Amino acid sequence: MIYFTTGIMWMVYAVMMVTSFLYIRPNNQQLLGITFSQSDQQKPEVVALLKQFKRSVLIVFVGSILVSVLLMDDIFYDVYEVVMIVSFMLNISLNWILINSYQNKLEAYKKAHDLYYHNDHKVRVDLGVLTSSKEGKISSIYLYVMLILSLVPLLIHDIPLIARCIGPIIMLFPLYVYYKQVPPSHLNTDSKINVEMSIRINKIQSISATLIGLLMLVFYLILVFGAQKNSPLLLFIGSGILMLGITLIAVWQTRQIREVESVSGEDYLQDTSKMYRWGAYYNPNDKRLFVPKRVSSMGMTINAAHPLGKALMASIILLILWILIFLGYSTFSDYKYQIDAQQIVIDAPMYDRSINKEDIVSIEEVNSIPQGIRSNGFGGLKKNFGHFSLDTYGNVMLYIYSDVDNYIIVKTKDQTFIFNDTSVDATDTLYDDITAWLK
Amino acid sequence: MLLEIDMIGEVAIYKQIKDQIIVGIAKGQLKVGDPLPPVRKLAEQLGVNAMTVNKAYGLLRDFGVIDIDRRHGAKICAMNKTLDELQHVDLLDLQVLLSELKLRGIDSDTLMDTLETMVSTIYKGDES
Repeated sequence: MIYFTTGIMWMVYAVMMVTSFLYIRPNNQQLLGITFSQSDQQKPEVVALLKQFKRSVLIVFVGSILVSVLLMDDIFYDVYEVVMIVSFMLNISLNWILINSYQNKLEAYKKAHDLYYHNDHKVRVDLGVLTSSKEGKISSIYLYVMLILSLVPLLIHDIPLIARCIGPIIMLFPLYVYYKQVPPSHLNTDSKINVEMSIRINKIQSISATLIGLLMLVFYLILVFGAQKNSPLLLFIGSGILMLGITLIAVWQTRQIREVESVSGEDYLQDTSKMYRWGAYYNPNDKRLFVPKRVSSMGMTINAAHPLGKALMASIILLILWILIFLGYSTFSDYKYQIDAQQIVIDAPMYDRSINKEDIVSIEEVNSIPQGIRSNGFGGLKKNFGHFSLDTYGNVMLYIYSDVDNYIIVKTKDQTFIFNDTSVDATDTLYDDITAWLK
Repeated sequence: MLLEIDMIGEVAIYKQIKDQIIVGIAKGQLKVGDPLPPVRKLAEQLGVNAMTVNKAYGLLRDFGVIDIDRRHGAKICAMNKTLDELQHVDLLDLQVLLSELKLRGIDSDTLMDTLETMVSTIYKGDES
């Protein structure tokens, strides 16, 4: 489990590093999202700043890898999930801080050398581009075939229904990417050039969507197969293929689209720095909720000045906080077992349960339990609790410390509960208390 | 054809859309049969309400330069109104515009030079 999680973290760190490097690949009008003409991009001070940025990103990457190796030490065993999430968020935060810091340095350079372009609050669209949204795309039949193939696991009944439905749902994303038009981010004064750019971008976009669809289908089938065989290795391989594949597709798409846009010219260079606050797009004059990222072909971002945008950003922050609180509480609080007259009450974060005395059919104490998968709950290094599906037992409510090889199995008319306490002795004591209570 | 919309200027956005499309047709950048983007798509790209684009398209249809079909959307059509039908409204607009220019201090010679340049730009497509 720890190696699996560490491997996933390394992949995420590598993706963050590659994404940051993509930001500094010179395209025609932008470096790190800051507007620069082609000639200004070549200035020695600008090139030096970008080299410094690259070095800093590499330091963050290597530092994150070293921290993740340290986390594998036994001293972090009890709090592994919390420190893992904290180190993960630290990596993302450091990359974000670096990007913002170097964006500010580039802006300061522009100010010092009086390199300003238009900032005229004008929105430009090419009507020809908007009416050519379907031209140039490869056939959508491949995506629909993949969507049908993703329905096949629905026939496998020994996998939880939720897991079987994930495939068709995730296949909707590449379909969305296929149909969403991405107009050229920089227009030429000649509409024919813009339309030609748009048609070529449509083709690139449709190829990306199809490749993403194929990747997601492969990942999903590996996931289903891995869940069926109870194989974390397969899950790891599937996750690796997905992350590596999406990164490669993103790199390919970005290069291709930037090459296409190389003909767009510099007539409409616009300074956009005043529309950003703390790295977020904030433009009250723009009525759109989602806008293209200022690094072209890297997706969309939320307009934080839009009322819905504010609500979305607040929701995202609250969600992250909630996950951190839940994770912290789950990691630091032990299970509590309270035996009163008629029931045993199990207290675990978000999975409190009570077992009525009259419903208990059998109770036993064992030294090992079979392998299983989590359907809804918390699966950490030290603690596992919630809804699990175990070989032999089927669906159970699990409340276990993974390093305690002693388990109490209580079967009721409707449910099986498997739990233990903080040590083998504490589990023995709990078992004795329950059997005495049952007499 | 490029639309350039000033989001914070004094001229209403629907009017900018309508005026630029009319100028585009007159200059030959948009031809009979050319489609216009769907209302929602253009509104999304400009970041405006769909009603704004709808209003612009409605005015263009009333002016006689576009046809709007529910299935096929809006397309440029051959002008379907005669000069007599338009003359009264157009002359009134022109009178107001000339009056505004005079009040802003533009003399008639400068105005005539500017008009000659504009006429040659807009009508040059007809001569080729």
